Amino acid sequence: MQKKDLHIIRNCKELGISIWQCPQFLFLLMGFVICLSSLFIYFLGVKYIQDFYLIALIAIGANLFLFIFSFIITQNFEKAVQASRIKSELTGVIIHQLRSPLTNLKWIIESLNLGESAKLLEQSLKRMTELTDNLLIISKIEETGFSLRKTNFFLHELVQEIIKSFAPICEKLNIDLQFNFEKIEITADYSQLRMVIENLIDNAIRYTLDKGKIEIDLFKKNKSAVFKIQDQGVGIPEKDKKYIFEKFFRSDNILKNKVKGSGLGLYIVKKIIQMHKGKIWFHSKQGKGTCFYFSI
Amino acid sequence: MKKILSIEDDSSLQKTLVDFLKKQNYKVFSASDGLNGLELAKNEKPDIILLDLILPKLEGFSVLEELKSNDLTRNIPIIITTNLEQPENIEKAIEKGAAAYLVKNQYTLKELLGKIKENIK
Repeated sequence: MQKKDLHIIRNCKELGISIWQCPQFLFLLMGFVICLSSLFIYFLGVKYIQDFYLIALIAIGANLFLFIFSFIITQNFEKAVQASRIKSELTGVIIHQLRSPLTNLKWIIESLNLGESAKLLEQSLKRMTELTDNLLIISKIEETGFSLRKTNFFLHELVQEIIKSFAPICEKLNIDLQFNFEKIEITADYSQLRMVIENLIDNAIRYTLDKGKIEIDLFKKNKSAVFKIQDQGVGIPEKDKKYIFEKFFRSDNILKNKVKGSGLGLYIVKKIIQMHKGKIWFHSKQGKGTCFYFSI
Repeated sequence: MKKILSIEDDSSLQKTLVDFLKKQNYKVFSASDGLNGLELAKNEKPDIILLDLILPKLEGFSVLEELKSNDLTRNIPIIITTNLEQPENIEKAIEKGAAAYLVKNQYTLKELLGKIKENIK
């Protein structure tokens, strides 16, 4: 337990809920009342009451009171959980509704046939679409009902397929994308894992300057499949390493303003790997490049 | 002239779609809810139906079921056009007889046209 965990009132304020809906405070209160009532019955029994049956009756009465008191308190927990669920559902609905106008914009630009001048519009639209897609994924991940749909498939085939889709952009940017692999069959959520690998390759490309090399390795280690992606990009500054998997975090390096991104990709990647009970880690040296791994 | 029925509740998206398809020389009927869509499908007997899943009055899966269980509409190919991208929805739609499943923000009008031509009889 960290020191800041003990500042209950401050923690409750940070959660943005009243003290009477704050689980930490309510648990503390419940514990306090239980201790107090036990002590009260003990002293009552020792000092004033000799009749064993009467003490038992008081103890039963006190327990009944505690039962009702706990019930009222847990009802407050339910309200907090319900509020969080409604908020999460609402976020999902809003983002879903955002998708239709974005699709419409995309279609209108396409049907207007604007040629070269449509490129900027398309790029901005692509970024907005990516952002809403990522927010939708996060709202699903943070929703309690999110579950994985696991199937058996060959991981090397999935990686090959994704690499193929990145081939045109790599060619355009003079990036040499290499893939060394062992044939590996795994049980995982196919579309979620696709998202993880796409995000990692996309990041490696974004942060690699012209004529770089990206190496992807897929191998088995201790019954797990390990995916490794090494780039020759700008690397992650030492001070930013601990925040790299946090929501909306973007490293404060020279490319911050040149490389577009929402700072959500690696957060999503880590959450998906964690849901698969896997691990994700990285090594990075500023100016030399970054190497991300995940095992599953 | 081939007939297309588009069942879509987002009016601006519907207009863009209808305008585009009309330019491609199709006769287009549009419905903004599931019930109206069903009625138009039975009355007009289109050559293909574009069906959204989140619809007022009668949701898309029920419309799909109704269309596939009715003798008048059973053989009309149906393309699902939706924002729902979960694999379980795709499987469910294909199981119920949809000819194709497209997630709206992932395809272009050109790709949609390709799918229509591929499935229209």
